[in-house]
Amino acid sequence: MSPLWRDEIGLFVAPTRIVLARMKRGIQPVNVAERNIIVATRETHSWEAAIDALEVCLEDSAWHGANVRMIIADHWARYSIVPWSDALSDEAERVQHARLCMANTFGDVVSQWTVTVSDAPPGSSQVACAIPTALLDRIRPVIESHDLKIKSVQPQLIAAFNGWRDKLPRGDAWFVALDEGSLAAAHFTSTEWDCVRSVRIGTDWEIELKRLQTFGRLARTGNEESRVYVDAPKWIRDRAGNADPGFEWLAQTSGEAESEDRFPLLQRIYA
Amino acid sequence: MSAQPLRLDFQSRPRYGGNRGAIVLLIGTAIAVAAGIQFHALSMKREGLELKLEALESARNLKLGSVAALPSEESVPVVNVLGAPWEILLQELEAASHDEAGDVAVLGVEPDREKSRIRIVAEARNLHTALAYIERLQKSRSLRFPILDSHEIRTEDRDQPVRFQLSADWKTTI
Repeated sequence: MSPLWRDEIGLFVAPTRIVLARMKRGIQPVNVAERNIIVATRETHSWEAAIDALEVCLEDSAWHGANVRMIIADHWARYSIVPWSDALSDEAERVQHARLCMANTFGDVVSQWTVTVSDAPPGSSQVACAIPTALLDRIRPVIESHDLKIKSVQPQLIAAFNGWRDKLPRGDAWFVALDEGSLAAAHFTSTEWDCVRSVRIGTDWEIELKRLQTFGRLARTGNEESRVYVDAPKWIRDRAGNADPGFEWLAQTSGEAESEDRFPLLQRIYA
Repeated sequence: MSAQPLRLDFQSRPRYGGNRGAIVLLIGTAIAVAAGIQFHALSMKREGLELKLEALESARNLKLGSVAALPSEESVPVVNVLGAPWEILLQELEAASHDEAGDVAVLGVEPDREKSRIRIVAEARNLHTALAYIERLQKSRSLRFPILDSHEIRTEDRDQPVRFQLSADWKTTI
């Protein structure tokens, strides 16, 4: 198969869940295989169990010979807004600057993280994201040993935002990526992101939904016009219902198939 | 109206444009090649047209040159002679002869375009007829002040006609 038209695998890696979707490339990508793996573990801080499960899954030849777009759960990602500095001249200096900014927030643990920054026009703030280097070093060889080529590694908040952006306003709104164990939120304007937060949350959804509603009220206090757009699995949306009119729960349109898991998230990156 | 995408990736991005970039590059290259071919074809066509134009101008200059090459002192009389209103003059001489019942025969016409003069040699049955002919020519549109220069009676001829010569101003612009 021509490298230009290699199949692509969307891969979502979270502490308790691995989701894969294989897309056959062409003018219109077609979903040809899906796999949803529940990882039985209580150690959500550790990624070993998830990667072990992924390694077993990738033994199946149905997942070989493709490019991979990987999404890392927000559970393992940290974000920060890095102000623009004219004193920085290249990408390496901007990453180093972002690392210093994140160290001020998160401490010395940043030295164990891989940091990257978003593309931004001169004068605009950049979004910095950090993922444990050990996680990336562990997962890359697992994937690449099966004739798979990693083309993209994105944190969940970024992938979800880009996936839903056609349903988001041009600016002045909050985008929230909600998943089992994590909540990440960003406020965006028409030109940049100016605030980003991520927290680990528990499994008591009554409490977490109230926390989300509190967050929404705080967001609207700052600016009455700021709406909150939430990306979440269907089961969380079903629990939340439509009790709070301040939230826009992002969901597939009626013509699209709805799934209980994160397949829609993977499929949207090809939309 | 959709939100601006945020480009953030831990996988180092290739500096080239990916598949779309390759396609755009191919299309751009194809367009550039097509434009180059068309430019070359148009350049060749233009060169051809310029050569044709040059040949036409050369031919035109040659024709003009052949006329211009004549010495002016020779060409001016020729042009003047060719441009003179001969038809009107001859018609009027014929009409005057006809008015005199055909008793006058024009033997020669000699123009002098530089001086706008004309000399006519004719023969009449008698002197009276010759003078009437000259008087008739005074009404001519193309001749002014016709005068009798000389005359002689041809005694050797049995009818003894009068041969006479007259001159007049020739109005070449009527």
